[in-house]
Amino acid sequence: MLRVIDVKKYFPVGTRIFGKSRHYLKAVDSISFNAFQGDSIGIVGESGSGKTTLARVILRLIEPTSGEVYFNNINILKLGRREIWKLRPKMQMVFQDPMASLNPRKKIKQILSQVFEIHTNLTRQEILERVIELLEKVGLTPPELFLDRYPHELSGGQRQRICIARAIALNPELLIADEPVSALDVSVRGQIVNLLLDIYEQYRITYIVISHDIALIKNICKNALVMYLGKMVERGEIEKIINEPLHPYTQLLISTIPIPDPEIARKRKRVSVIGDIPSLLNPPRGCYFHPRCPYSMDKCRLEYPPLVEVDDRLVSCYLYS
Amino acid sequence: MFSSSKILEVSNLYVQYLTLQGIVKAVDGVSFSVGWGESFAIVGESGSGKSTLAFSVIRLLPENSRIVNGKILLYPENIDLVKLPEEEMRKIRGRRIGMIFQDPMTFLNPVMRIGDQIAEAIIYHQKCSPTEAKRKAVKLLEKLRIPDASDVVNRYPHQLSGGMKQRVVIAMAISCNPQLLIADEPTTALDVTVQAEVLELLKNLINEYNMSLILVTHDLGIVAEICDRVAIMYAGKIMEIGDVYRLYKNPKHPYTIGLLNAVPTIYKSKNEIAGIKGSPPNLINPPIGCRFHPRCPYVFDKCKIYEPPLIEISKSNYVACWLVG
Amino acid sequence: MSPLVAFVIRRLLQYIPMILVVIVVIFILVRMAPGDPTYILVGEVGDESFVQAARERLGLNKPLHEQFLIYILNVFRGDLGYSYLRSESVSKLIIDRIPATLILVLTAMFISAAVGIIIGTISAARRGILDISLSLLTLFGISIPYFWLGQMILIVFSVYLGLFPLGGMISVGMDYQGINYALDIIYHLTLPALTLAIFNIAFTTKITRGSVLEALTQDYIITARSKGIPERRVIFRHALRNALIPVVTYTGFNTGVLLVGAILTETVFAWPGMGSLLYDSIRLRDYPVVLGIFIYGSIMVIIANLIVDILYGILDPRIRMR
Repeated sequence: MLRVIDVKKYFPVGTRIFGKSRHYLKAVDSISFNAFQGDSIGIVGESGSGKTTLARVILRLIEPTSGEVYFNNINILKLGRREIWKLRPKMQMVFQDPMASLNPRKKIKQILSQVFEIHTNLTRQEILERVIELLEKVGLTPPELFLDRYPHELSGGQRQRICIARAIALNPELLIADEPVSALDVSVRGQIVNLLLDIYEQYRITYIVISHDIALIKNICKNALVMYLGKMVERGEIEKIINEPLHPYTQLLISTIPIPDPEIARKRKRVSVIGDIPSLLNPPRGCYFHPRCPYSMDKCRLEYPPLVEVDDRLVSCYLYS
Repeated sequence: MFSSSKILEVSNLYVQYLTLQGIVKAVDGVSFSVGWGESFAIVGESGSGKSTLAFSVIRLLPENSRIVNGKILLYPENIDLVKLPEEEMRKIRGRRIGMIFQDPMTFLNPVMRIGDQIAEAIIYHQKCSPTEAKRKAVKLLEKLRIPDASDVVNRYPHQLSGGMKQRVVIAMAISCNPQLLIADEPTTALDVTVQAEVLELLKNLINEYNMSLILVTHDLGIVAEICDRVAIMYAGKIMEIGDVYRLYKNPKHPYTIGLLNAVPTIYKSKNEIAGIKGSPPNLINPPIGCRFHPRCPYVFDKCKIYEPPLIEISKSNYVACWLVG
Repeated sequence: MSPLVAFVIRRLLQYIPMILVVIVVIFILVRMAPGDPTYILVGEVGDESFVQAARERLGLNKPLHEQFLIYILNVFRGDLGYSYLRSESVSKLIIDRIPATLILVLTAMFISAAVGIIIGTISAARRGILDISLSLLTLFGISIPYFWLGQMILIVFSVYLGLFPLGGMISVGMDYQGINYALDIIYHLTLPALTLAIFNIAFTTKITRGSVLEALTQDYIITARSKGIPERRVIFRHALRNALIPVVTYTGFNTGVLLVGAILTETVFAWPGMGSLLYDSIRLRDYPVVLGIFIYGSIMVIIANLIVDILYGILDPRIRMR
C-alpha cells in the first residue's frame, strides 16, 4: 500500500556568491520500507535522525532530493499539485504540538467543519452531524460542550484529540503521527495512546508513528525502523527488535527506556556510550555511530556498513556481515 | 534513614502567582525535609507546582509571584530563607545551594565564554583572581569528562552540543561546592541517549561530594534510578511522600498508581498503558476537597468535600487519601 | 582572503544597485522641484540670449533623460561635475566639508550612545519613580524638533549666558595651533553636538530600556542570579551585553536620520559642514552639488551599516560572517 524507495533529502548548506553549494546536510539518506494495508510502523530516532523530514517527504509536504514514494501504486512524488490535493484526505498527519497546529481564532466546530467543507459536498447540517460524531469518536463527550470552544480553552490532551479527530475525519488510509504524545503530561499520554490504538483497530488505517521513545513505539506498532543521523540502522518487527536488538545503537536506545522500579533500575547494566550525537553537518567518517559505539572496529571507521538481512531484519552494522 | 540530620526543611509553604485571570495557588501548604547527602525527588506534571517549589528554595521566583506563608529552613544554622534579606540570600546562592536548569540552550548566556560563565561564581564566593578561577573552571570541566576542557572554556555555548552544554550548567552549579543541589528537569531537554550519561555523571558527583539533591522531574524512571526519597505532587499539594523503594513497590495514592502505570515500558504487553482520565485542574479555582477527586477512579463523597491530610502509612511514608486510614 | 574582507566586499557589491536607485530618485526629485538655476545664475532680468547660452553651457538644454545618462556615466567615472555657482568641482566642495560634519555627527553619536545606554539600563533595572520620570524625559526628547531646540539652546547658552560662541567651528582670526586649536573646536562643537544628540539620547534610552527589560526575562538571567553574583553584574554583564544588538542596529540605522539632523543643526549654528552646503545648494538650485551630497550621504550611511554588521559579529558570537 505504501512503498518508500531510496528516499533522500539533502539540504544545501552555506551560500556562495556564485555557483552551487558544495556541502549538503543529508537529513534523510536512502531510506526504503514498505507498509501494507493495516500495517503500523514506528520510526524511532533522536534529534537529527531525519524522522520528521522523512514523514514530510512521504506526505510530500516537502520535496525530496531523490527517491520514489508509492501510495496505492501511484508515485506521489510525480503528481501535480491538483492530484496531490485530491489525495490529501487519504493521507493525514498528527503533529507534536497540538496548540501550534490548531488555528487559535477558530472554534472547534469551525476547525473540524473546515475539512468537510473543503473536500466534500455535504450540507451544513450533515457536516455538523459528522463533527459531533467525530468528537464522540475521539472521546470528547458530550460533544456539545466542545463545539463552541476555542483551542486555548482546552487542555493539551483535549487539543491533541481534536487534531486526531481532524486527521481521521475523511477516513484516511494512511495516518502519520509525529511525536503524538511528547508535548503532553505523563498522565494524559496514556489516554492518547489508547485512542490511537482504538482508532487503529477500528478502522485498519495504516499507521506511521514517529517517536524518540522506543517503548512507546513498542506499545503502538508492529514494525519499526530505527534511524540515526538520517540513515536507517535497523528495521524489522518491533518485538524482535526489543527482545534482541542487533544494532548497537538500538541496544543503546533500549537501555534508556525508563524502568519505574528502583530495584530493577539500579541493577540494570547500561550500555556505556561516550559523547553526544554528532552534528549532521559534519558526520563522522565510516559508520556514523562508530565514535560512540562500544564494539567499534577498524572497518567501522572507513566505510558506512551496508544493510544486511539478519533474522528477518535489516541491519547496517559490520558485526553482522 | 537520613532523618537524623537535615539540611533543608520546608514547612507549610504557600506560593502564589498573580495573573490577569486571578491568583494561582501554585504551591499550597507543602512540607518536607531533605537530609544530608540525601537525594530527594519532587515528581509532578506541568502545573503541579514542582518547579515553583524548587525555585522558592533558592528564591528565584518570577516577579509576579510571592511566598505567602511558610518557612524554608537551611541547616545547620536554622536560617529561614523566606525571611532572609536579598543581600544575604545572594551569599547562599551558588555557595550553599547550587541549581541546575532544564534547558541548557536557554539557560546559558549566549554571548559569554563558557569559562567566564563558570568562573563568575568562583570569583565572587571564593574571592580568587580571574586567572585562578579560570583554572578551576578547566578542572571542573575535566571532572565532568568534557574533552579538551582547556579549549572549551574559551568557546561559546552555541559551539557545544546539548549534552556538553548541560555539563557546563552542572559545572557552574557545583563550582563552589554547595551542600545542596537543586536540579529542575536536568535531562528533559536532552536526547534520550545523552540523558543516561548526564544522569550517571550527576549521580557520581552527588556521591563523591556527598551533596544533597532536590531533583524536580516528571520522569519516574529517573527517580527510580537515583533518588532516596520522593514526593508526588499534584495541583500544588503533596499526594504521597516517602522512601522510593517502598513507594514504588506499594503505591497507595490513586494518582501515584496512575502515574506509575502511565510510563510506557517494554515489560508490559500492548494496551496496558493506562492513562488517568481528565487533565490537571486549573489552580485559580482548584477542586474542593481532595484536588485529585475529579480524576480519581475510587472517588467517594467524602473526597469531594474534605481534604485528606497526609497520614503515615509506614515508617516515613505518608499519603493524603481517604482510602487510607 | 579573510572571511571579514570577503564579507565586506560582498556587502559593498550588494550596495551598488542601491546607490543607483538613490541617484535616480534624487535626480528626479531635485528636478521636480520648481525653480531654474539659470535664472539664479544670470539674474531674473537678464537677456534671454544670455539665459540660453548659460543653459547650453550647463547642459540643461538637453532632454532630461539624456542629462541623466550623461550624469550617471560621469558618476561612474568618479566625476560628480562642477558646481553651477562656485566654479569648483563638486567632489572638492564636499570633501572639504566632510570633516566638519563627521566631527559633529560622530560626537553626537558617541554622546547619545553612551548617555542613552547608561540611562536606559538604569531605567530598566530599577523600575518605579526613576523609570517613569526618565521615560517622560525621553518622550520629551523625542518630540522636540532640532531646529527649534537648536535655536533655544543658542539663545539661552550663547545669547543670554554667553557661555558658548554663536556659531562657526573656529574662532576667526585667532590662528590657534595644536591643543588650543582642538580646544577651540570643542568649544564651538559643544552646543551643536548636544542639540543633535538630545533626540538620539532619548531614542537610544528608549531602545536600550526595552531591550534590557527583554533580556532580563531570559532564562540565562536566572542562571546568573543562581550563582549569587551581584545584581549589578547580572544587569551589566549578562543583560546589557545581550541587549546591545538592537541598540547597535538602531544606531547604525539612525545614521541617515542623524545626517538629516546635522543639516538643520549646521544651519542653525553656522557649522561649516555638508549640511549647510546642502542647504545653500538646494536654495540656489545647484543641482550637481545637491546630487553629490546625497551620493556621499548614502555612502556614509552604507559604511555605517557595514560597521554595524561587523559589530554584530563581535557582540554576538552566534552571528557568523558568511
